Amino acid sequence: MTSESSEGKKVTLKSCDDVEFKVEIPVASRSILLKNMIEDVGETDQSIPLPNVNEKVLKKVLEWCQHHVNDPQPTNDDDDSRRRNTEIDDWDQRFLNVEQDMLFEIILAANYLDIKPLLDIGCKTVANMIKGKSPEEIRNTFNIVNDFTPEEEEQIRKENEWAEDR
Amino acid sequence: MAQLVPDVLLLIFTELKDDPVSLRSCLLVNKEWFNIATPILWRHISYAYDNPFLYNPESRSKLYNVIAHFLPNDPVDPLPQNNIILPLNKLSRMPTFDYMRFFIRITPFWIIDMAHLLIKNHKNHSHKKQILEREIYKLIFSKCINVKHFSWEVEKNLCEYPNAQSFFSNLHSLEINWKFITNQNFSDLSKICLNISKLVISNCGRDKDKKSLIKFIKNQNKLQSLFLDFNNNVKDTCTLLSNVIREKGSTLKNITLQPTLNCVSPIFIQSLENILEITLNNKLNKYIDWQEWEKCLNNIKKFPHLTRLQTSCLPFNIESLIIEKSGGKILEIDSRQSLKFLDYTTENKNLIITISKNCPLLTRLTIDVDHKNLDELSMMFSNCKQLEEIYFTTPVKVLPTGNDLLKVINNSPLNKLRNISFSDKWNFSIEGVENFLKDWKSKNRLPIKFTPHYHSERNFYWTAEHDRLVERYQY
Repeated sequence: MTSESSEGKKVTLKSCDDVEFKVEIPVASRSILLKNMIEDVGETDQSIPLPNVNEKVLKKVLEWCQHHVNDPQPTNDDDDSRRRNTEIDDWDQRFLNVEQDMLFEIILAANYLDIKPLLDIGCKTVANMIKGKSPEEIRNTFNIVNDFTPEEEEQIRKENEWAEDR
Repeated sequence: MAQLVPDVLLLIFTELKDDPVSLRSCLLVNKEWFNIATPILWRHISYAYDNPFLYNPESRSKLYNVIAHFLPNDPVDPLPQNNIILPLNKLSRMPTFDYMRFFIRITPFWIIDMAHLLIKNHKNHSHKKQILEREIYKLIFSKCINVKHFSWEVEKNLCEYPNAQSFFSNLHSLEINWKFITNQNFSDLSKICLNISKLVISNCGRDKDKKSLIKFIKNQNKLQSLFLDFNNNVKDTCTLLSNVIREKGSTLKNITLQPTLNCVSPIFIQSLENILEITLNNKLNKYIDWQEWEKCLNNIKKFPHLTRLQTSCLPFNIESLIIEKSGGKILEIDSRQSLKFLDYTTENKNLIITISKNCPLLTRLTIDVDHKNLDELSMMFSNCKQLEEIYFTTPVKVLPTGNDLLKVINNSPLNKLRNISFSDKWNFSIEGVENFLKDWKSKNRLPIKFTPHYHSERNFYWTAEHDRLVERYQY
């Protein structure tokens, strides 16, 4: 279904906490998962359940889709170069300037809904948070428990010590 | 709190692939992060260590020490037998991962460096180094099962090593320095390596016949990129080589011949129906039968997919013929030191007109420009509106004033232009540049950069004052 022919038509999405969103099809089609579903099912009054996304996150993701509704669809064949060339623009930076939990939820939703450009900038944002941090600082930032034994950690530290500096 | 799933962690760590320090921090976070980040870090090193000397000796030694743990070290093995005791700083147990299986490319410099750093204090250092290098290659062939690129720059019969057959048969990309490989090596390789898509041969043609090379090329089923760098000593045209390139021509996407074209006959060029990039570098400028090139090019229907053409020391008319035969998709032309037959100005004019008529999508252009051909240049700018970068060179001895050139650029519809490069012979006055920048800005165009390329200290027309002027207009 082309975005031109589907303009104005809407689809209903239902979050895991049972909140419904009526969304224009070109906006929903930023998600490849939804785009394929809509193309397979055709026009329907039934809502599409999204068991992995709650109302708060879905609202946020749809805000992103609305803003980027006219962006070209990414191609599948050059994942690596696409990611490399993705600079985070000002609007996206402000969009992702949220609590860490919400940032992770957006990334997971983008992964589940297959919205590659949103997933890319989300991952880039987390990568920027990691840059230059020690393992302990990363654990504290993301609330991660260290499950290595002291011996294991020491061995791995030694095996990869060469990467410490140039 | 939401937890990132492994697929997402993989994407995040991939963003950090050129940042080994951060990746190392990641793999020390917990076991899940370790399992996902480690392959990315070690895959990165197989690229980064193309030039190990970018890293300090201490970190290189630490890396080599880990690799050394995988070298066979039983009393009967070659290292202990030759009193080479490795590794130097033994880990309390064997490395956690078989790290070398993450390597995807092997280049020779880290192997030479590893052998040197690990045994530099040994007596009889040179002999031991040879033994150690051989053991490292044997280790690579047995452990590096995911390597797709290999660079052969060593005088060893590598094909005879254990596991070499399986290793070489997995390669997709091979770079060979002709100086180091024997006819026998090449012949052995041609029986094992059948799926090379990218082949680079440097120093091709030194004192040995090319039959093995021809057989090697012939045996490739998926050859897409061919780079042949000929040795200075090559004197004769090799018809068999030209024939085998012609045979493979229809699958080739990319071909480079340098630094002379006298080693191949142009008969191959007619088969390049799917070519994307052509690089013909004739810097040695030996005698070439250009009429034969002209005849072959005239027999071609089209290069319908050609997007990039790079030439050096080719006659203007040959460059023009290639461009005429393109399918209007050329994005980049880099033409340097074009040769004239009779009249430089006229032949240069014809090339400019040809580009103008055949390259509507052109974004980057390097070209010799005779300053008498500004009208044709103006026509070209009207037709090639996508130009983003232009590099003007000039071989003429009379130094041209660039002010008129700038006026032509300003009056053209080049709304995407953002960089003007020029060789040092072009002379732009301060006043001319200032007028250009004022006009350019008044048309609300992109900020523009001027990049001078200095070839001679005597021609130093671009000054710090010019730079300051351009800086002032970077709105």
